Amino acid sequence: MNQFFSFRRFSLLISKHWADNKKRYLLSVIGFALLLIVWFIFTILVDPHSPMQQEVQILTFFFALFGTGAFYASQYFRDLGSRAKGINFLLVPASAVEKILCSILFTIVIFFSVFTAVFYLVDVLMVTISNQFLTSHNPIRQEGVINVFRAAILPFDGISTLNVLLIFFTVQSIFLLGSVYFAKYSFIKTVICSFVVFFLLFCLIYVLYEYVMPRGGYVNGFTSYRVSRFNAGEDHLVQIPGWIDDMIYFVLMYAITPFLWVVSYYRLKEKQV
Amino acid sequence: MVSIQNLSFSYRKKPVFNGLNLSFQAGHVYGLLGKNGTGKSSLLRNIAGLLFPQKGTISVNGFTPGDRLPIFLQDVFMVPEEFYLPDIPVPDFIRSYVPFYPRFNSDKFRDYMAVFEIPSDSTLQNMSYGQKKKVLISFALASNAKLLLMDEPTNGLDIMSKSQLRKILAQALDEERCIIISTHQVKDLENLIDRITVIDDGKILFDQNVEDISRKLSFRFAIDEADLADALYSESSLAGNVIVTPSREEEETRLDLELLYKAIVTNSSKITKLFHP
Repeated sequence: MNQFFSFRRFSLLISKHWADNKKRYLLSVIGFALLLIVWFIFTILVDPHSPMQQEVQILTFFFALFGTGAFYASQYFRDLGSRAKGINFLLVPASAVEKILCSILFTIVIFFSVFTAVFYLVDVLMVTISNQFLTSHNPIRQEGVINVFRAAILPFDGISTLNVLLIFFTVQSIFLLGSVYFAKYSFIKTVICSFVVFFLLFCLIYVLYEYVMPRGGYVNGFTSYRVSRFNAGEDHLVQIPGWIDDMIYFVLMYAITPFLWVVSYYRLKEKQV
Repeated sequence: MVSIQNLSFSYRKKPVFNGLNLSFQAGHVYGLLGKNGTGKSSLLRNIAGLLFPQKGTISVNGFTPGDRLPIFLQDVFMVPEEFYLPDIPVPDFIRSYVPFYPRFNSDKFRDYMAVFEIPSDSTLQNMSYGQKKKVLISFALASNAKLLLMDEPTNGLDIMSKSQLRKILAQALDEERCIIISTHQVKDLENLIDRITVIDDGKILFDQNVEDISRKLSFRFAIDEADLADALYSESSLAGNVIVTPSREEEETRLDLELLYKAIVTNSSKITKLFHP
């Protein structure tokens, strides 16, 4: 049998993970649904004249998705922080690829599907209730259920929700890597490390922009740069080929996540207990 | 089955092994003895692929443990001192873990559980530490893994369970299987172990078959002062002085592992000379 990946072992690993954690997962789902109901009731009480606004629904969806998703991903490999659980995990006869793929399946695919399903279940219920009971006494416009895949996110008008979902997968992968990397307090440590990395990147870009680039500014994205020549009285437009822009976009949107998975794989392979 | 060549291993700045050479063969039960912190558990975890050597090589059934290939993991089962079992019913545990071990024998698992007097349909969550350990040991033996690594297997077991464990281990040993037991409780597994390996300060202090030990050493009460003077190790008791002494011709005494261990630790040079003249 292939020692790198076997579909049979992979499916066994999924069954094992489910058997080991189903009680915790089911309780978490119920807890999340109840919290969501409490939250929506709170928003209705705060603003009873326009209950269940679509902005509230969509912001709730994305804040909860990112918050709970990152926390769940940061806890996936927490067993490795305990000697007893770590031994149990590492000695299961499955390859590191299968173990990483199982983590991706649970923290990204299954988490997103279950989260969306639970959110809609509660959302539809709350929208129906608020439309039925609250608006029947008040002349208020009835709100509909939001489609999170088509909604415009107000503060980020230029970003489609599908792109936000791609960012979500990247964030999940960052926290998954943090979970393999840090034996304890992986959520907090990953948050701190992510801030440090982003701050350093920001500083690097700032330094490059301020001190390395000639005086001027970007025009229509990052592929065109106008160099100001005050003395000569004539500006120059420097353009790089469009494919570089496409490539940068592709890398940022699609390549970082698989790269993080590959790093997680190697980190898991070299994990010792 | 297990070949360790020139193994060096350390925890950050604390060296554990430096140039260790050792081998373990199928068909034997090895007793790994030593003081606390001498590296017994670290050695088992190196063999299982949970720790990686800094220098040297380890080969188990032809595989490098650190690669943790599924084919290797199917044939190595470790019962650690600190272990974890999920809080699920035993039948669910069996359903989700057994398919990973192609040679798992469910009938034997039920037999072992019966010997340990644990109901097969109980839930792991409601079990005591000792009961959980018995489930894990039953699973380990029923997995038919060729290499079984047990770290302090009798810790947490009551007196009856210890004798049940001896009985089960004796049943489970066959020509293809190698069992390595690391323990402080030497008395618990006295009649089971057929080769004694004593580790001290990251080195092998003693490594001999029980047969050779019984032939070359005698464990008995001292008859007179001269007997006491010749002893490799002596210990006073209510019934007199117990001694470990070189065997006289055709003398056969019962091996006392605890006395042997004390003799090796306190008088290793004379014992080594006796076995390697």
